[in-house]
Amino acid sequence: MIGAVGFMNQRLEVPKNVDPQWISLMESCWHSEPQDRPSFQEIMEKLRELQRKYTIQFQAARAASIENSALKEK
Amino acid sequence: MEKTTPPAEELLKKIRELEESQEHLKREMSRLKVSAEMKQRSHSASPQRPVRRNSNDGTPMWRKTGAASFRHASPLRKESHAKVAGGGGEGQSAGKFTDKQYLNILQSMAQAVHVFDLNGQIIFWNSMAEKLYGFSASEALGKDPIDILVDVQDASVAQNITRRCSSGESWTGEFPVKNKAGERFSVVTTMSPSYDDDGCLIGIICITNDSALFQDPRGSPAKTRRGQEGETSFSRVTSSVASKLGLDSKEAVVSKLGLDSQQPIQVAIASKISDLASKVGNKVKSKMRAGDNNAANLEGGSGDSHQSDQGFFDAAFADRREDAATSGADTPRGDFIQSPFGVFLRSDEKASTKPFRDSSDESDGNSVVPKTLTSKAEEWMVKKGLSWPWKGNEREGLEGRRSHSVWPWVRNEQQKQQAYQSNSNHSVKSESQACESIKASSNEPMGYWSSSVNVNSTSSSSSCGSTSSSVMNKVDMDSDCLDYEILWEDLTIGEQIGQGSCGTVYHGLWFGSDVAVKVFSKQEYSEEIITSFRQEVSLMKRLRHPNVLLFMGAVTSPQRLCIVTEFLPRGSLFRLLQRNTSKLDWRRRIHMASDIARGMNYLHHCTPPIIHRDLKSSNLLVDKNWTVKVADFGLSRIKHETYLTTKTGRGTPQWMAPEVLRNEAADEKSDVYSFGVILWELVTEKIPWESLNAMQDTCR
Repeated sequence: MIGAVGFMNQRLEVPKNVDPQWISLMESCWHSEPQDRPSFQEIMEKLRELQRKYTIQFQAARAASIENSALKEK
Repeated sequence: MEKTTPPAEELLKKIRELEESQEHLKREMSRLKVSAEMKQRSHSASPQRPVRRNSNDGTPMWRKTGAASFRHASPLRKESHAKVAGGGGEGQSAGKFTDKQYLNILQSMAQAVHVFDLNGQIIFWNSMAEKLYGFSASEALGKDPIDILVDVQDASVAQNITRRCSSGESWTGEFPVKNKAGERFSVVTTMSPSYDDDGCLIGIICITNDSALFQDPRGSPAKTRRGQEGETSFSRVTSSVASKLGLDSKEAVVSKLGLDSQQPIQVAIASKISDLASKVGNKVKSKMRAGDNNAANLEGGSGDSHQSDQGFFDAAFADRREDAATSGADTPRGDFIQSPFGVFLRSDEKASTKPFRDSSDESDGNSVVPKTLTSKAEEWMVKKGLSWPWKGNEREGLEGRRSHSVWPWVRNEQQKQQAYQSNSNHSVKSESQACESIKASSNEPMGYWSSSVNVNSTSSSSSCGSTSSSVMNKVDMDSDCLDYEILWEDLTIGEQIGQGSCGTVYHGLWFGSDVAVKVFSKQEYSEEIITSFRQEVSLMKRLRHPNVLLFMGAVTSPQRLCIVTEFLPRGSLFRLLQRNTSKLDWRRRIHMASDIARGMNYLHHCTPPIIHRDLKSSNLLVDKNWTVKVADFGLSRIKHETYLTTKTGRGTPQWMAPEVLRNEAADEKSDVYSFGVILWELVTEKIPWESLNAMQDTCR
């Protein structure tokens, strides 16, 4: 593994069902050129975007489920 | 002191007092160093002499010279030292003891001194050793002392003694040796472990006298005696009191003094002093505990009032009582009777401390308070605007109090340097009375404690009570060190919760609060461990961020180095993800990632930036609100210090950036890589590179 990561530029395998935004963030952190990796400042911004996205999704999902249950009751 | 006084304040006081006594010890050591130098200079005029003449009172002369060679004095210390030195001129008893006598005594101390390292190689060999053994320094250096000095038939005994000294004991006794010509003769030797500034054992110091100096039959093998002495004269304190304390008092003292191989005599004496001191120190401790109960009883002044510590007290000081009884005169450090040169030191002190002895016999302790309050601890407290809680109105009346003293010489001598010496005796002998009287005026446990420490703080011996300050010395002696000292005794250690980079982490209780205690690997604190401890503490104490584990304090006692932090109940992110019981929703995971990023962003924006170097899920801790905090800075470095960091410890390969794996320079971006691996863990809940199975996942 040391050789694979250190010298053959291998990285951990990323599952396919993961949010592409998350994957791109991960992969940017793993850039073989350290200076091309984001700073934590930048990471924080990316995560904030993700957070916002998921919050919206969550709220939408909840709203939908409320709607659904409301529909069912009718 | 009131029971309600914040422990931090008590600690502060205690530490400061202990520091004070340490200074005294240092000074005494300096004196002894001078003595040794004088001895070697023979009768030729010593450059020290004019200084001593100026001091004009005989006894404090060593103080003066000691001060001259005392390099680490703080301004505060210097100032108070000068004050004390000035007062020395009034001394009376000093007249009994001239420079010449002093020199004569020193001349009688014909000791050979040699030091050998842990590999059994002689690394120091003085001129008396040359005379005694016949080997020149160049011949002896690098040799094994057992090879060249000990006959084959005695080698196993010698090895045994060496081994025991290597474990921190001192040995004094008679031993058959041989000289270069192969002639066997008997010597009296004191062997003490030698420590470097950081408290690492670096070798054994032997101070040797030809037995012929003490008893006629030179050359007698003394074989029968050898066996007995070897067993019986192992420093008693090591087995009794020190073990009770769980500390290696010698290590504490010696390391504290920063002794090196050039100062061998001090070490032997240090061990003696430390014997006494650890007893006193321990006693003080036990008094602290028992003081509350005793307070009331002590007022009655009955001997029984010592209660719990009475037994200990007896045990600890029995030696001295015996000595006093048999020698007729009080010997401040009775232990020295056992050692070859103790005889001389004893006569030295007998002369100079007589008044104090008398006082201790007659004393009801009244004189102790004002006298010892001249100590620097007092000055410091004045500066700090603190007062002895038990002193009350005595505070402003310090001078007046002195003049109330029954014994005129107390007034004259209270500022004399010599008091350091004699007080050790005084405190030992008259402790019960003295402390009782103090007690009567204080009636509070803390007061009792302060006063008894204070009594002792002017003595050479009590400094060993400062077991904690000694390691602190090694660890980090800057003043804010005082702010984070946590007493091991105040911690209740619970279950083990993890294994850090260089220690085991336990769940603990500290005054009813949950804490995590990282105990640095036990027993011998190697230089390496002390260095990493120091590094981690000095780094962590600066960090203040909601996503960085809160540093609460450190235990810095000789037997233990611990870092105390807040305790986060959900444990590490690694375990959380592996346990897999809690279904973390996506928002939570992102939130956790954000927490980590915030903590890391803080570290990287410190000035100078801090590089964690071991960022991984097992070093991320989760509190009950699911907040994640960055922890374990054992491998962390301040950026400018070590650009090429990989030599000084490695992280965990799965999380390490490729450039780090290649042993190239690490910087902030190496932490970013590790963060990427943590993002991966957060989504997969797997162990990185687990399938490769090649890792030593030791640090989980």
